[in-house]
Amino acid sequence: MKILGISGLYHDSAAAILHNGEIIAAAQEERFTRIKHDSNFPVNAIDYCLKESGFKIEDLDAIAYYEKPNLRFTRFFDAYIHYAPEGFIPWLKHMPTWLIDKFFFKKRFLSSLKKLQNFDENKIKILYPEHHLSHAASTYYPSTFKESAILTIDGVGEWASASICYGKGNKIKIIKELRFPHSLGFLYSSFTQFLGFRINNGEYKVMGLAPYGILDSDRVKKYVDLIRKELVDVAEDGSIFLNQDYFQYAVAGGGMIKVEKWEKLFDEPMRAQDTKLEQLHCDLALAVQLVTEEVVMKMAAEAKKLTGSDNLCLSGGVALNCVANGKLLKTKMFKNLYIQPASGDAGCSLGAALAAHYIYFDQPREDNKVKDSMKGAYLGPEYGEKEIKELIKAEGLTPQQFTDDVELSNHVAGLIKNGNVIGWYQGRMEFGPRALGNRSILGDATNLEMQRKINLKIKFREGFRPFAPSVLEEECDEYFNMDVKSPYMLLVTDIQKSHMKDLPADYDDMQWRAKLDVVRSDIQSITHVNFSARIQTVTEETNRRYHMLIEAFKRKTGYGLLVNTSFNIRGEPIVCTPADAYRCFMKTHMDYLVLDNYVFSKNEEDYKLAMTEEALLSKKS
Amino acid sequence: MSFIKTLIKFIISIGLFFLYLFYILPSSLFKKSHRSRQNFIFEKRPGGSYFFERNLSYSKRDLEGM
Repeated sequence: MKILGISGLYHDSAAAILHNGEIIAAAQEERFTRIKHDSNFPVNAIDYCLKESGFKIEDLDAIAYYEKPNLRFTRFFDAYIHYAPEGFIPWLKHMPTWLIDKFFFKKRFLSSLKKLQNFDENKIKILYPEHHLSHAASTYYPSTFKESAILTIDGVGEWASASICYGKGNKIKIIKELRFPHSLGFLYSSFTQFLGFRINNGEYKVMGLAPYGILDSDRVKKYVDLIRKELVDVAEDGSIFLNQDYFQYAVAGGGMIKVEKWEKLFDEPMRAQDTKLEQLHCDLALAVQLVTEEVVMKMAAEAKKLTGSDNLCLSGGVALNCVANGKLLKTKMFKNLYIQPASGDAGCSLGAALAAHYIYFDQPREDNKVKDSMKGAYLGPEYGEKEIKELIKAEGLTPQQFTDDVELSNHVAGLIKNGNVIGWYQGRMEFGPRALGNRSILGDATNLEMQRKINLKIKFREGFRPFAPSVLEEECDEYFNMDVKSPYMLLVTDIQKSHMKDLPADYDDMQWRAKLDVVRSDIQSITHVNFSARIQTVTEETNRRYHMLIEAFKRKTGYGLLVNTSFNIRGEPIVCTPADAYRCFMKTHMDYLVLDNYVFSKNEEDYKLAMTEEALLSKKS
Repeated sequence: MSFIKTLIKFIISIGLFFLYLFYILPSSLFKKSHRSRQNFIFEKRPGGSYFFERNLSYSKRDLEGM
């Protein structure tokens, strides 16, 4: 059974391919086109998946698209009826395009595929699982569970914005769903806009900003009360109702929120992009984070009540809220928790293909899985010696080559120990938003300056944003208060007390940015201001070379963990090819680049030259 | 080709204008109790739920239609 899954046309387009239920490949379109969250038809991702699998389009048993386009259209239509005459201009502006998309969807879909290969379109079966079924399938089928409650929460699919399902064997049953316009994802995105970040991009920043809020302060309590009283009603079962008087996302155009009403409600102006962040912004971020956590806990409790399962599978954009995930884990509501690493819409390409395999073709599901079938999320393209040598030749480089992995690990671990920042590029690219040691920027977690250095001089992003650690799985409980594996960096927990430092008496009263300068632990660079950290546990089995590197670092320093952040700079997707990695390396103050077993260095002159060339190029364009 | 596309869009826009005038607007004014519209009106349901019951075990048929 050969199935291609496709998601996209709204944001984060992606493709995935299965062979007899095994995930052969999966990748996001943005990595190939270098356009962040690229929403175009994922022609490059599909091309890669076909090449990786060796299949032609005509070999496929089915192509599964991640949602039902016509059902989505009925939502647009109902929204306009409700908002008339308010939505008149967007109606005339957007509806012609949507109508053409609706009536010619299949034709355009097939013609996009034909740009890759010619095939007989009458022989291709196209399937359309619901959006939230795609999410549910993306997390349940790869998990090891024989049966499980499934919770999916995101912005919106066709009508559903959240669902509670139950998976058993190869079947999935949807029990309940929350429907548009009521959406936890949209509530979070609305605050993302109000706090001056980009929707569908800045949600991580809101989550990272929340710990700077003052938990028991009157202002946070006031904001939580206002959210609960005016913006959202949270029922006991976790279902929510958003007061549409404050939102405008239901008809297209103009962002998520009615800005004036929000400004009046919170008695503060909306923050303009890239302006100074104040304590009140942190408090607002904390308030929405607290409400989000409350809703997630209540929905999970409802899923438990309805299914009685000890297992929970999570997916949907909200499942990338690692803080909520970590808190859910701590409640011990479920014995086991599995979260799809590509929980956003990109993962729906995989989910759609899996739904087709198990539900449409009724294929049996393996009974006694010991590990999940995501292959460590290393499902993207791999570029080898050939491409690296081409790069070396084209750029006239003289890297240091290692023939032995132990020597390479020892050498790179030494560089990290000496305060250097490394671009670490190995093997297959990760599927999903996290870099898990194959397209990563690495540094020493014990170095007091590392967070600032990577944020400001390498990633060129806001200085307040925290970094995550990659820790040897066998060492995890030495540093962190967590007794489960977290291979996909989707759980936040506290660091162990033994690693914490005493805080100054006036810590809580400090200006929020000043807290960053306070030494909080001996693993300072990955310790957030509230002593939390977002963990990736690394095993030899899933990533041998990365595990070897962290082990080598441990031998040199005594610490079995590293700072791991994605190999990209602000506004760009994670690097895909060796050439992308080299460009990123040259544009930043990164000290060394490791491509496979080649180590590249640069001096300040190289950096200046690269930046001058970059400036000239952008001037020309 | 792009001229034809623009022309089609223009014709559709005219059609949509009249659809809005003679269907959307009246529907909005006179069908306040329409089921699909209840989703948009803020009415708290103390002790209630905003979930919709589905109770559907997905089958082959559910993946077929658009």
